[in-house]
Amino acid sequence: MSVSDQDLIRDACQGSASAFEQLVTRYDERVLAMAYRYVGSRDDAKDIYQEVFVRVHRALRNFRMESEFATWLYRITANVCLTHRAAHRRRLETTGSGADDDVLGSLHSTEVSAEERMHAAEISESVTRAMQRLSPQQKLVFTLRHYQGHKLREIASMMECTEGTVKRYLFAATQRMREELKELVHQ
Amino acid sequence: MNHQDWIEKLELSLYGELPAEDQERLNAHLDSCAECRAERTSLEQLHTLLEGTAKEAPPAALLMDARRELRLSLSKEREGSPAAAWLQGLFRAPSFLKAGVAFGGVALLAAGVLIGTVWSGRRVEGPPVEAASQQSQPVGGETKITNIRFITSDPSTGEIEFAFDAIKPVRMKGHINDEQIQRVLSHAIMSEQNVGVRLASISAVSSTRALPDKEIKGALIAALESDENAGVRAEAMKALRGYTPDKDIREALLFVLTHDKNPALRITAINSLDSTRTTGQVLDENMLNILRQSMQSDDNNYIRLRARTVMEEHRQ
Ligand SMILES: [Zn+2]
Repeated sequence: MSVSDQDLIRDACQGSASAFEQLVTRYDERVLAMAYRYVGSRDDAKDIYQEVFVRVHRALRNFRMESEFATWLYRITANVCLTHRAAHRRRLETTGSGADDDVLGSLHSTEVSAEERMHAAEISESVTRAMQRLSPQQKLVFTLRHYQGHKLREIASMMECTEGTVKRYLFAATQRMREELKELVHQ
Repeated sequence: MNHQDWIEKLELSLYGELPAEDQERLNAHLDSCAECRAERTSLEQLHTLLEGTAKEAPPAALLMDARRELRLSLSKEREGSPAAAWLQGLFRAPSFLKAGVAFGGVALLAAGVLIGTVWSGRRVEGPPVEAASQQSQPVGGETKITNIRFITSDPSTGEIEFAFDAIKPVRMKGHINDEQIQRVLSHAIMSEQNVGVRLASISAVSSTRALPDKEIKGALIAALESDENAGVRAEAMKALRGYTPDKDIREALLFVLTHDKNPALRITAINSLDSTRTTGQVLDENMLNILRQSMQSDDNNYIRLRARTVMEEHRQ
C-alpha cells in the first residue's frame, strides 16, 4: 500500500524532509517536463523547478487538505511559468536561440543517421524558438496539450479558467506556430 | 456555421476532442469544401512535425541536477542559515534585491544585488551582470562577501570549487510605472525572503494610485495563491482590489476559496468575489461549480452560507 499525498503532506508539515522529498518525486518529472517545454532551456527549466518546489515547501502549511494536491501544484507551476518570462527574455537576448545544446542533448538517437539527427535537431530547435513567440498563456496551453498530453478540460481546471478560454489560447497558438514553422511544414 | 467555426472544429478533431456528432458534420463539410480540406492537410503536417519533437523528455541528468539543487536549497532553508540569499541565487533572475521600500507615487528602493556566485578553479559562473566584479577581484567598494560555501575539492588536480554571495547595495528611485521598478517590485513580492519586505512591497503597490502593469498583477496573484505567510496573502488580496476584477482575479479568488487553509482568507475571498458583481461581471459555469463545492463542503458555516448567496445573486 502506498502512502497517500495527504499523509506525506502532514509529515512534511511536521518537519519530515524525507516525506517532502517523496512528495516531490511523485510529481517533479512532470513539473520539470512542463517547465522545460515551456521555456526551452535547461537553466530556465531548472529555475522554474526550484522556484515551484521552494514555494510549495514554504506554502505547504497553508494547503487545505480537502483539496487536491496535484491541482494545487500544477497551478503553482503555471503561475511560476507565467511570471518567469522577464528573466527568460533577457537570457534569449544575450545568447541567441538559447536552445541548441539542450535540444541536441535530449534526442534519443542511436538508430538514426547523423544526418537525420541533425535534421531532427534543427526541427526541434525551430519548434522551441517558435514557441517563444507565443504569449505566456498560449505557450502554457500549447505545452500542456501537445507535450504533456492533457485534455482541454484538465488544462482548464489547472489554469482555473473555462474550456472556451483554453480553446481560444490553443487555436491562437496553433495558428501562430503554423505561421512560424511554415517553411518546415511545407517541405 | 462560418468558415472559422469549421476550422476550429477541425483543430479539435485533430486533438481528438471533437464530439462524435460534430465529427460527422465536419466530415460531411470536408467532402464538399476544398478550402477546409487544404486546411486539414496543413494542420496535419504541423501535427506530424510537432509529434516528432514530442518524444523528447528533459534529459535525465537535468532531473537529477534539479533534485540535488533542491535538496541543497531546502536543507539550507531548514537550518535557517544565512544562506537565504544564496538559496535565491541558485535559481532567481540575475538581479537579487534586498529591498527596503518607501513609497508615494514614486518608488525608492535600497537594494542589494547579488553578483558573485560559483568559483571553480579557472572558471567563474555567475549571472552576466557586473562582469568586472566576477574575476579575481570580486570585492570592491561597498560589495560585501558573505556566506562562503565549499562545494568540492579535488586533491589530485588542486582544483576547488566554492560559492559565495557578493552583496552590493543599490539604491533605485523611480516611478511606479517604470519597468525596472516594476521588475524589482515583482521580484520582491514573489521572492524576497523577508516577510516584512514582501508586505511592504505589496502595500507600496496598493497605496499608489497609478495602475501597475501585468507583471505586478501576476506577482500579486502568485503571492495570494502561494505565499507561505497569511498576512502577505491577505495584503495581496487587498492590493488586487485596486484592479478591475477581471477573470484572472476572480479565478485567483476562487482558488483561495478552494485551496487556502485559512478560513479568514477564504471569507475575504468570497466577500471580494461577491463585490465583483457590482462591476457587472458574471461568473461562468466553471466558477459557479467551484462555488457550489464550497457551498456543499466547506467546513466553515459562514462560507457555506455566503457561497450560496453569491451563487444565487450571480444567477439573477
Ligand atoms: Zn470549409
